[in-house]
Amino acid sequence: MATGNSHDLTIQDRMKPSMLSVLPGFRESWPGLLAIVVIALFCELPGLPWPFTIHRLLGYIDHILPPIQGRGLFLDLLHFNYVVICLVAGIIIRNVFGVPKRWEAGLSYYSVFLHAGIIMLGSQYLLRDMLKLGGLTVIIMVVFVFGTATFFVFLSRLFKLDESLAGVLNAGFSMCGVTALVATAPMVRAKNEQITYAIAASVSFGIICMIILPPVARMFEVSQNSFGVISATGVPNSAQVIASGFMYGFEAGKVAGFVNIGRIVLIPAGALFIYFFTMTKDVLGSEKISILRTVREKFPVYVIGFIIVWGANCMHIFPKPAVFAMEKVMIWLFSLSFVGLGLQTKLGDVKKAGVKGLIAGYIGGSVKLVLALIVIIALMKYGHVK
Amino acid sequence: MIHNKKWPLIAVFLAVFLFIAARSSSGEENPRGLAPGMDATYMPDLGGVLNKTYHNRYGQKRDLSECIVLRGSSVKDGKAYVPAGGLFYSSETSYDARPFMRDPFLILGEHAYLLRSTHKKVVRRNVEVKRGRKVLLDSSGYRLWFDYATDHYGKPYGEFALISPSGGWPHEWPVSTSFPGAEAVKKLNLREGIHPQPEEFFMDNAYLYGLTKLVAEDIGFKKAKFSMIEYPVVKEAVFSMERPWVMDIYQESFRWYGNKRIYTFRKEKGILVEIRDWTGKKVLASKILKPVTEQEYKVANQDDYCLTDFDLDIHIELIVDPDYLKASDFVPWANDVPYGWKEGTVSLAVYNDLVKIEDGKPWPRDNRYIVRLEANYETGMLKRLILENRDPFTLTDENDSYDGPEKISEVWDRKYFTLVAKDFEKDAVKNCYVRDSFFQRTDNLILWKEGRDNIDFFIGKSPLVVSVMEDTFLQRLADPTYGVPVVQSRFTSYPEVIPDAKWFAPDPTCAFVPRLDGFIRKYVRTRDKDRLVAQETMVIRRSYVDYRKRKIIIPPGGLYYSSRDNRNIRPGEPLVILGKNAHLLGFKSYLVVKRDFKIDLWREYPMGDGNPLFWQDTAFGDGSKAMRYMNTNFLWGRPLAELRVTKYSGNNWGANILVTHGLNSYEDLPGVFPDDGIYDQDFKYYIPDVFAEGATYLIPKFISPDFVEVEEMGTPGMDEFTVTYKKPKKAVLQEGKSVKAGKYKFRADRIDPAAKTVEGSLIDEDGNVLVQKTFGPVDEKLLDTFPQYAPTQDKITLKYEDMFITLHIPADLSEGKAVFYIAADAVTYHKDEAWPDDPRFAVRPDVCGHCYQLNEVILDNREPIILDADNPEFEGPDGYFKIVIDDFDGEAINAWHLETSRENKKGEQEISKTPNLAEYPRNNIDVMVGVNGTTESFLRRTVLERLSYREIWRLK
Repeated sequence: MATGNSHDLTIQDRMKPSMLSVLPGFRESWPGLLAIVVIALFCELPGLPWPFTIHRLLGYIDHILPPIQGRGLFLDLLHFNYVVICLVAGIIIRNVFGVPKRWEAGLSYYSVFLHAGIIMLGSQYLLRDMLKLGGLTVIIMVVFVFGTATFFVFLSRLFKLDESLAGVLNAGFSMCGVTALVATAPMVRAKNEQITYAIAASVSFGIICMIILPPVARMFEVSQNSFGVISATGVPNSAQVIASGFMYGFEAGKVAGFVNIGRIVLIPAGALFIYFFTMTKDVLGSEKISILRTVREKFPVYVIGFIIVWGANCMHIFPKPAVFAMEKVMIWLFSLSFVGLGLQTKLGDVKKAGVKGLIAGYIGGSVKLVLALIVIIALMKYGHVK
Repeated sequence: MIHNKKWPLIAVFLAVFLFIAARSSSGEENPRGLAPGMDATYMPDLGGVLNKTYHNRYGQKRDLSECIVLRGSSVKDGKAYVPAGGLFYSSETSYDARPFMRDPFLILGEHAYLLRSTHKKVVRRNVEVKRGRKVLLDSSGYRLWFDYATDHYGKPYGEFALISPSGGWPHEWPVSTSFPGAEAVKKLNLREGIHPQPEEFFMDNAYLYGLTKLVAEDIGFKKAKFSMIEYPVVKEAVFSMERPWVMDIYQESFRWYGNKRIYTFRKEKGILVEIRDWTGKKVLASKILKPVTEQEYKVANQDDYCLTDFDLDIHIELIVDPDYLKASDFVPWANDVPYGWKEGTVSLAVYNDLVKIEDGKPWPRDNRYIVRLEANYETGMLKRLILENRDPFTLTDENDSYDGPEKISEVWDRKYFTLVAKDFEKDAVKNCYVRDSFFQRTDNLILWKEGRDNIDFFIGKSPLVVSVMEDTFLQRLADPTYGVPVVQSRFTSYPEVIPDAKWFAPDPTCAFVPRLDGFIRKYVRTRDKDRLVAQETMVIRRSYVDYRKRKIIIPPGGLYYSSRDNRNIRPGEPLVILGKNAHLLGFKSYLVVKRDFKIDLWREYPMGDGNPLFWQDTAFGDGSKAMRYMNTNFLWGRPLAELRVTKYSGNNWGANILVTHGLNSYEDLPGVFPDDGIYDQDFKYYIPDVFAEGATYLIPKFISPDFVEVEEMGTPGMDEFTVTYKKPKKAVLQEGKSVKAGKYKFRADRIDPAAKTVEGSLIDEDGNVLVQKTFGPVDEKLLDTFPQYAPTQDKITLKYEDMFITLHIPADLSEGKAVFYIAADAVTYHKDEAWPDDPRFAVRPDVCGHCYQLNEVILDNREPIILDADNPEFEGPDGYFKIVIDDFDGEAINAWHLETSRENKKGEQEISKTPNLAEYPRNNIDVMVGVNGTTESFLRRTVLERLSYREIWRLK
């Protein structure tokens, strides 16, 4: 029992939970992991000599159907790439056929794949990518994170939301979705059902963004680079940011992943911001929050991995074949991750989430997305963003 | 009543009409050997049309490719008409397929193996062909194409191609009847070093290419006659559609094969193979066989090496697995060999699912299609399988499809493709596509809204497209409809860096800008009113990004301006240099000879950074050309070397230097040829043991598969050339008359028609004779080496300071008059020296390789060009063009363009720009601008890739 004296701390208390220690063990996870791998295999793991994939099937159907202005329906016009196929396949399996309980533990590994994929993503950038983004993108990112958080404080008061729920919703919509939301939850004392509610709201909004954003951006002839920035600014969850980016194009996916890292870096600051502006004075008065500790505990470890890989690539440590191999590994990891994400997406949760919080979240998210779209398109038209 | 005066006009109209009618009808009659129409669509991909790489039993790589081609079609009155032989399927292998090698082949999408083949040779005598025509050699579609003729010393030589029915041909072959043959070069015996231009010019009256021979009787400028043309054909081929069943031999015993037993007994002359029924009592077939090995000569006696029984559907060979398979780590099922056998294992290879096809006969599964078996002209072995429509057919809106040949499949024998054409208007069709055997289809092959008056197309990534599209590939690549295609670079950590770009070609994926205002391409006339095309281009090659310094580097020689005419430029002829009209006045060429040297076979080796490296090129002493051992093959066991001269520009000189030892050469050609007809193939290979074409020659000492030892080799080069930018004045002078020549006067002192000489003097303002010259004698000896021989030019040219006065040839002095061309302000440019107006650039005059004439003027950068954020622009020589980097982030070039500036008629500066040449990010700024022989040659090397990429770019 902890008494406030460090000598009395148990081993468990002293151990800082690691990413792996919070995951279920392999014995209970293997069915879900196997399911992810098998489904991804049928969706398409690029480079594998395995012909029976949905991607190939769609390509084949495209070649049977008369082309529309020279383009195939699924792959060219609807952009059914590995991200979309994996995600859609996962969602369909979950919501049409259902997922056995034995899979659930393994499905939670999707975040590991995602984070590992983001680390691998570092190998696809060089210094020029950061320079290409420029300081303006960083400013946009900071303004949108804190602007949305502020706007959400206003919305939560307008909708008279519970402050804990408001806090997690705010984190989910203003920063990078589930990761930020989970990081903020303990600070704003969110209950389990509030966390689930916020995740459902944020994920469902993200799905809508993923579907709507690419065609809308195509209407405005948004460049790959700009779309990456829009996606990373407007779409809530990291996975959905990357998915929506890759739906638009490979370059857009790369840029989205890169810019999103900037948003992830802001999690500790954003969490503190939300904490201070959401919680009541009573709560604030009764607690002492250490900024340093918050930064140390809430800073996502995989971002460090990404920066290391990116830095190594900038210094050209990886030979060319290694970079190509890492690109393939990244695609595999994202494929596995999006299958897992799809298999965890319960469309019914959107119904369960209720209306008030959802409306507030959707309003906040929509305003952010539309503003991001307008600002970045305007900057693109005037040549400030490429 | 028609007025009499109108008759001639009507007669002319009638003649023209009949001529056009005759031309068009003859075109429809037999499209074999001809290309699809100029506007035929090229579509690289259709799922069912395959490209595969397989290996034969000896591990040799074979790239197999299929294509579907339609040619000679026309649309009229709502119908598309396709003549017999117009629609064909082609399957080809990268080298050849021969029996006993387990050489793979694709047959209508199925993986097959060639087992047996029957070879013949066709002999045609007294073949005449006019320049520019493709004359039919036989009804199956072999044609002889007289591409063009040019001259040396006023005597003609021509370039010919032997076209197979599919339209494929390997190279153009130069032949002449006016010069000493190649064998004469053996007498030259020159020391190593640089020699003054010799008089000799070599060109044989025969072209020997393995089993193909062209023996000319008379090559003229407009017509050529061949006393004999011989080429190999494959009359019959047997394929297996299955992988073979391979099993070790049990001596004096049997192995089961299905319900049959295969016995093997050792005999004096080989191994007796018996196929018996399941009881082992009834012998169904038997034969004494010898094991097949990699020795090629065994193809000539195929019966000795295999047992083929179509009734039993079985083909048996005794194979010796190579030693390297024994106990191999990579072939775990290959074990050691009993009985002390040291060289490998002997096994039975049993094939079934046999298909026998015959040249000119119907395809066994579909008699609407005729089989054509085309041979590799060099080896005589199977190169290509063609299935062409036997009868003409028409497509209409009501009957809009025509099925391709039926394929032989394990699962479902079905039509390999279906051709569909619909949406006809009167003389146009708007919708045409091809569906493959998996029901996948192409995009609409009619790419224009207005429709097309034919449905010709070429579908598939087959190398056949390169020769079939020979007539149109430049127009296709220069088609501005979709702008300038840009290929995205693959970014690497390590750029490919070289100290000097000479001999290098630009990046194969570099952009090609067919036209940029400011770069001239125009007709010019010679003094004899011949029409030439003067063409300017520029090339950037081997540029790279130095990411550490955030700079774009163009190495020395990496940026060059090139000016050429469409043939070598002779003294007196016009050319364009940096936009200015110039006239060549003289030149000084040489022959560089290299003796006793070795060249390794050219190979690229990847370095640790992934970039390829090669070092095998052998430079000549003059520094302008290098030698490369391009390829090697075995022909009847003899190593065959294929070498090329690489020019300063990075182009390969057009001639293929093909040499070997131990086969038949020019001197072995029989004096009397057999009559026209088809004969059994005797496999008498003819490849010369010496190469001599024009001024370039090579005498090999030893040829090995991985290096060639050269006894002596010579190739021409140019030291200097002289031009004037003022058009030389023509002056017709009688004896004693004079004419103003610059600041002096030129006087014809004496004209001697008998001696065929003219004496002339250059006189200054005070009447002092500055220089005297006897022009000529214009005798046969002079005419025999005119105009290419520099000493001959000297005999008719008076040079004084910057004056060049030339007696015009042919000089008819009989009327006491002589014609002179008087040129002032002559400028001489020396090889490797700085360009006088812009010393950043060096002058590199080059000859073609056949002769010593000026072929190309190159101006290239002497020092590396460095472009970065601070210096994003670079001006070409004399500011003729400008490189502008618009967006460079230190590692990727995101936007750059070229621009030219010129004065318009109003006196204003007009700037012309290329599109963004990095629409997709690039890691170099390699580019080709404009069309001349140099860029054409680079394009020809990458034509398949570029044509294919245009389709991707179209759909961008």
